[in-house]
Order: sequence, then C-alpha cells, then structure tokens
Amino acid sequence: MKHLSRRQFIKLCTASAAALGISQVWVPAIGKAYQNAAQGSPPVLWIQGSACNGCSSSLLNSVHPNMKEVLHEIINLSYHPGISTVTVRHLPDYLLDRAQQNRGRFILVVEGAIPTAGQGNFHIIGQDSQGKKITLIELLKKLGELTETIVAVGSCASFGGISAAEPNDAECVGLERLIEVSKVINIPGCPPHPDWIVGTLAHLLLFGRPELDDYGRPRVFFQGLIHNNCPRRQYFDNSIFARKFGEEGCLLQVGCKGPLAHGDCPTRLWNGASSWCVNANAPCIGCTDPSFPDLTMPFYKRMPEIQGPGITSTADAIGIGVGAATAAGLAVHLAGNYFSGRIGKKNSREDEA
Amino acid sequence: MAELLVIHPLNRGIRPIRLEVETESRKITSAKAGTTFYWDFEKTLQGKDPLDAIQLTQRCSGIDFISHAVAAVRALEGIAGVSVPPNARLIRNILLALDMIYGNLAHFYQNAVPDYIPLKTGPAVHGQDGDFRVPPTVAERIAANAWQALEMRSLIHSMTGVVAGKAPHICNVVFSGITRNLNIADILKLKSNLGEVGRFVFNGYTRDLEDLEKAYPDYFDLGKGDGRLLTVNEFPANKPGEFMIPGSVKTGTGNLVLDTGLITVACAGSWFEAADSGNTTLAGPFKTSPDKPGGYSWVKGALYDKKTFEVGALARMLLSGNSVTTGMGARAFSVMGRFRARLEETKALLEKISAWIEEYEPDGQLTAESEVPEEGLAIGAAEASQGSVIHYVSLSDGRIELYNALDSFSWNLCPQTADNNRGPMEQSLIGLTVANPESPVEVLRAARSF
Repeated sequence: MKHLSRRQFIKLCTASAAALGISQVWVPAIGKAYQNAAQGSPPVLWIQGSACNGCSSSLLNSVHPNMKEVLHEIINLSYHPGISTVTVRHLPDYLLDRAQQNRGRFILVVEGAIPTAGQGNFHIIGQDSQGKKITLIELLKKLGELTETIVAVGSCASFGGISAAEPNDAECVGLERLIEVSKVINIPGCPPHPDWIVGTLAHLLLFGRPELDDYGRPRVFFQGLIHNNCPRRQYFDNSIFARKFGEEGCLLQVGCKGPLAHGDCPTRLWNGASSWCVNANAPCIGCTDPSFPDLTMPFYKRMPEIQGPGITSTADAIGIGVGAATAAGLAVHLAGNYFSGRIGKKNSREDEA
Repeated sequence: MAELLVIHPLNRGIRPIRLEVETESRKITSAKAGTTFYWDFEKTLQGKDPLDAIQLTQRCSGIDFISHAVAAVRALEGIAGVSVPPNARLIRNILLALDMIYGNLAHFYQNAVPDYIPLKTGPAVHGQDGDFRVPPTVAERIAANAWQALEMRSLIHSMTGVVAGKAPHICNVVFSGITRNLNIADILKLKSNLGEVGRFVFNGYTRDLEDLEKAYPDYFDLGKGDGRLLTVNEFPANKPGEFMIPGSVKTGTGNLVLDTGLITVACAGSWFEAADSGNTTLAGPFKTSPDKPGGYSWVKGALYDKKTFEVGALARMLLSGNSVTTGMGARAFSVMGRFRARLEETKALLEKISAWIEEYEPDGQLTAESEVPEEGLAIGAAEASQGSVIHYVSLSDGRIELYNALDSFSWNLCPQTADNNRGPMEQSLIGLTVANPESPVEVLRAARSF
C-alpha cells in the first residue's frame, strides 16, 4: 500500500479487522513512512506513576505488530522504565533534557496515577544532578508544559483508577486533574488492550489527535458499550441469567458491569484474540469506566439500583434499547460521573474537579 | 573516607527501586534498598466485599498478578474450610506455573541481561561502559534472544488468556474454584504454545545462561544475601497435603516446615508504622508516615521468627531439592546461582504443566458448594516468580475488616528492622567491591539478581 489514509487506518483499527492484527497493512506502510521521514518520528517519553505496571505488561503483549516491530518501526520510545535498557543516573534531568530538545513535539505517556498528598512525597521518582529528590508531580508538571500531547495509559492515569480507590490516602488523581485537559488522551482499562495503546500512538504519529469521546477516550476503541456487543446479549434480551459461574446465560446476576463499560473487548478479544473476561464465564468488572473501581465494586455482585440523577442527560448511546435491568447500571454510571463531577461541558474537566 | 552512591531509580524490574550504598575504599559497608512510591491496598480493602480482594490485589503487580489472585482466594477458602475441585486445583497450578515462567523470562532477559550484554548505549548511564565479557557473536545471539523473549512473554500471556480470560489481570479464579473449563481446542493451543516456549527455553535461554556463567564465574561468589530461605506451599498435588514446593524455611541450622503464624511485619525502616505502637502482627493495621525518622522505603517488611528471609526461585529450587541447584552448594547463594535456579525452575515447570494438562478432566466440576463466611480470619499464601506472596484477611459482618498483602519485596527488600537486621538485597550488596564508582556494575548486577 502506497498511502494509508486516515479513514483506512481507522477502519483497520476497528475490532472487525482486529483478527488480522491491528494492521496487516500498517507494519510495512507505516514502517516505510518512518524510514522516509527525515526527522524520524517524535520521541515518546514513558513515565510510571502509582501503578502495578500491568499496563506496560499489556503493551508488551502486542501481537500484530509485535513489540520489536512497534519499537523498530512505529514508536520512537525514547525512555521507558521497564523496556529501556539504560540505567539513567539522574532520571529527572535526563527526561527534562529530552523534553527540552523535542519541545512541543514529543509525546508524553504516563502510566499510573499521581499522588498529590504530602506535597507529592508519596511518589519520589528519582534524584537530580544536585542530589535533590524529585516528586512525580513536580516532574510531570514540568514535562507537561513542554508538550502538547499527553497520553494517559490505563485507568489509574486516566481517572485515578484503583490507585484512587477510597479512601485514597495518597490522594491519587488522574492526569486530567493536573494537566490542561485539552492535551490529555485517555486510554483507560485495567490494563488497556495493547491495540488501544499502539493504535492511539500510531494515530497520533500519522494523523494527529484521534477523535475523542466525552471522557477523552479515542472513539475508535471506546465508542461501543460492552453490553451491546456482548455475545451473550441474546440471553439478556431473553432474560436468561447465569446464577453461578459456568451456567449458560447473561452474567448480570453474578456482577457483570458490561452495561456501563465502554470498549471493544467482545469483538477485539485479548491476548492475540485468545479470549476475554465474559468468554471465561466471568463478569466484566467495568475497568474502562471512569467510575472504576469504587462504583463497579462489588465486582461479583449484581449492580445495585442506585437512584442517579438525570438519566436523560446521557450523551452517548448507552440508553438506546436498554432493558429495565440495565437502567440500574445506567444509574450507577451516571451517579458515579455525577459524584466525581464529570457530567457537564468537557473542555474544562479540571475546573469541575 | 566513606563515599555515598545513590542509584535512583534502579529500573527494569517489576517496581523501581532506590539503592543507596556507602563505600570505604570502594568496598560497600552499608546499603539501603527500598521503593519510593506508595503502593498498598490495606486501606482500600477495609469494608469491601471479600470477593473484591481477588481482583483488587492482582493490581499489586503487573507481572506476578496471578499469585495475588490465588493467595487472596486461598485466604477466603481457608476461612470457609473449603477444598476446591480437582480441575480448579489443576487450572490454578497451570496459571501459577505460566506466571512463574513468564516472570523468569522477564527477569533474565529484561532485567538482568542488559547488565552483561551491550544492548544499547546512552548518555549519563550507569553500567554501560564496561565489563562486557561475552564474545561479540555470542552477545549478538543473546541480544536477538532478548527480543525473542518478548515474543515468548506475549505467547505465555496468550496461554494465560486462553485459560483465564485475559492477561494481565485474570478473571477465572473465583471463590471455591474457577469459572470455566478448558475445551479440546484450548488444550491443543496450550500444548502447541508450550512446545514453542519449551524450544526457546531449552535452546535459547539455556545456552544464553551457560554463556553468561562461563564469562562471569566470579558472579557465583558475589551477591550472597542472608543465606536464609523461605517458601510457602505451592502447586498442590492430587494427594491432600502434598506440594511440588513444600512450604519450608532454611535457617542457619537446617530446614524446617513453614508455620505462617510466625510471620510478622517489620516497619522500622519503612514509611509505615503500626497504628498501635509495637504491633507487628500481619493483621496490623498500619498507617502511612512519610516523614518518619529512619524511614527510607514504602515496603512493609516481612519477618519469619523475627528474621529476614530470601524468597524466590532460589528458595523454591533449593528447598524442594532440585538437584542442579542443590548441586551448586554454597555457590547457589549468588547472582549466577539465582539465574540458574530460575532456569531450572522454568524447565521443571514446563514439564509439570504438561502433566497437569494430562490430569485434567474437561467436564470436571468448577466450584465447590460453599459460601464466604461472615466472620473469620486466615492467611492465604502463594508463590510468584519473584517470591512468596502472603495475604492476611479478617472478615466481620460479611465485609473485609483488615487486609494486608505482602509479596517478594516485603521479604527481599525488607527495610532495616528495629534490631538493625537487613533484608537479603541489602545484605547481598554489603561487602561488594565497586571497581568503578562511575559505573557500579557490581551493585546493579547484585540488586537485579533478585
């Protein structure tokens, strides 16, 4: 393929094409694009906040393209705490130096939430050449000012996730609470699918910012509701519910949060199209949702019927054709967003915090 | 004159570490190893539904997540007094073994190898300007295998995905059993992928380690640790009470059966402290104290019978009597000894997984009939590639009252204790000679051997 258009690329990113890999086409096509680019592609600086680093493990599971192809042909990964082989002596200086040299051009990827308690001393990322301990929040604010594009990988970096679960002693927050929201792209998931990460970075490099939904998530991966694309949707529609694990039926009664979570897991599948949670007879735990995990717990109990405000104010397609049982889930969804202050205009998520 | 050397962060491992060593005439006289970011679920789990621990605690580690799921579920099953059906035992064994093989490959190729093979150079870096002893053609092969290892890791996670829904962070392990049985297609896929991983392990990994052992024989004498080892019961056999890895401890005087009741928490060098002063029980509760004098790590330390213990593949292989590892004698307690133990374990587990698949009955029962009790307390334990995972849970009114999850960091990076004992990683550094403080490869290699 000589030229890959944005439209073609988006099509390749969709889950219906995912069986072929995120791009049968893009490895040669994009690889060539980069070889031809005189300046090379913009460097990616990856830093880890408060997290289990499972997002990085997930990234490494990228199959088509595999990690070698990703690193050699697609992403110019300038620093990653797990993958970079170098042991940098003064990491904060090193990262700031890289950022200065590529000011406005580099892509900052953040995995993990940012603890804000105690002037940030719940997370010290390293020391500078003066021997001063640098907090994550301090480094992040400096790096954030030097770039236009920040990718929050995982639910912790996006919305706080498990790091920010109650009672959140370290006062962890997602990036959008710290950085101008217009710069941030959220790729939630606990962890996110590798295609979501690689696909988003590739879109950024080839065509600029992808189209985002109200929560800053790339629509191409997150526009569908898990529940609407679930292979067990027929069971739901026919009111056939599994009461225990291993029974046929919709998993709502054993805790499934598919009615409130967005993502293409049912069609993309995980780990090289091996499976996904519901295929394993296990409920979706709602890990891509901004309300995860506080309002998606208990994971193995049916969603409680919380009275949420203003069901009609939903902007996306959740409400279309949902049964009575999902209305409860919808209420949870909206309640969660309401309580965390995310319903409203989306150009200033920080102000609403 | 004493000189201070700080490496912060020590990267490439499962969590970043801060190392601080003091040298006198280039010999390390004291060492501190810890983490500088708070990562703890004790508070989060209080008041939650007990089953949520199975999911939440997996997020302790993006590499050793399966052992946390299993330790959590075993604790709850311990309270209920329930035994899981045979298929659940086999599936959990297979998952834990896959996780260990994954962790061992990740440790060797991602964490360790770049300190011995010039994979990439960069400005202002530690340990990239010398002591590369492997001949170039061999180094090229090992570098190529490091890429291949990434593909193997992805392949292992796809096997985990087949069994457990997805990886990282699985969803098929539930209270009293599992959610899904393997079908014939799954079993064929597992067998085929196991073959591929096996070929890499027996050809690539094995040769690569042999070449490092030949080039770095002195690293059989460096990085000893504290010489005490600990394992928990892992890989339950068909016969109740029998395990491939029996829970045991190696002390100065001999090997004993593990008694989890003797595990306590050590917080002196940590930024945690007991909410009730002097309380060192696993139950806690503990509170954060980031300005505490003497604190230098966010690790909650773990002690057994008031002493520090090393956990991980070396402990598992020596205490379960693996002949190659025990054959190394005292030299097993070393940087290269730890690498060798991981390889031997990987080979042994590949065989075991095949045997467990043969034992598997595709239509077997998934879960035992049981409910999580409203009240009670228990310790759940499991082995992870990095070492023993210990979960403590107490339930009250059907909710979690207290929870503590300790893992390999609590053991191997146990912060300085109240009576000035040091964890195995710190002890492995003390006594090392740093030839070139600008490139302290000895420190990096010893710390990354855990």
